[in-house]
Amino acid sequence: MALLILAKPGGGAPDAFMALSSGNLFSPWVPNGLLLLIVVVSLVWVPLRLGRLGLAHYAVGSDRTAAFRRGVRVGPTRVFSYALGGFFAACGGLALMMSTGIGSPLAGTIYTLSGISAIVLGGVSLAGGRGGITGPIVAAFVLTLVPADLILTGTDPNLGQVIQGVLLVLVVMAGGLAPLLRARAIQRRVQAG
Amino acid sequence: MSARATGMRSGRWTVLQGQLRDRPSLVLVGVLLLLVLVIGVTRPGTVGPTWVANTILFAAPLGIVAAGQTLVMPPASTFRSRL
Repeated sequence: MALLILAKPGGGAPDAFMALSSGNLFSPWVPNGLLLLIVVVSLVWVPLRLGRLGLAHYAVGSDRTAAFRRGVRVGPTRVFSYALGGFFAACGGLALMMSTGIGSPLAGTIYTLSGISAIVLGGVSLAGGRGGITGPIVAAFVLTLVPADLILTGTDPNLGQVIQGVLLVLVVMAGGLAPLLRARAIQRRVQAG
Repeated sequence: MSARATGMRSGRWTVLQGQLRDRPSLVLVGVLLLLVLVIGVTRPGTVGPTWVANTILFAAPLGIVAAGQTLVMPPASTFRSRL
């Protein structure tokens, strides 16, 4: 919309909108940004995790054919997950606008890769069917702190992207290597016994 | 005795490995605390309510986006998707 309405990408957020996340309602140690994160995530995640739809999500990711044979509606489950992903992307955009005040629609392009890094570091399987939401959120905090640490220790903050990429590759490699080693160990045990 | 002690140690190691595999967020919390510790040691006085508030504020968008991608990942399985 902003790209259609404005002559060029840009703009800013109103102060009242930014004040929603920048203050602290209960304690200086509990900022509104944290409350916002908890509310947005728990509003969707808790009912989903406790309900049948959450189970269907993991069933479809684990084995699509088996889930279909057990009566799970695979297509609608996938569509619903993409819709939820879009909803969270919109919420993430609003949160970014609240925290930075930037109204540009192109401000959050870096978050696609960072988000994938966070979910991989958080233990979510890229092959589907495994992973929770706590890990990726903690990983998001880790990935935010890495550049801050680099700046405060006097290192080039651009190395943050390199570290992020290296971590992503290492975790994906470890994720592929672990089942392979486990299978070999089982095979060795079967051959020995 | 020694064999039993070794067995117990390897049993504990296996349990620890299982815990870390099932709950990767435990490792991440450790890494997070380590990163905070590094900041606290290199720049004493930096870690305070304002710093925590700012860090959370800037991590929240990524956290929300990651939560959304997490919801897409289990059923969509990126590596197996055929569009």
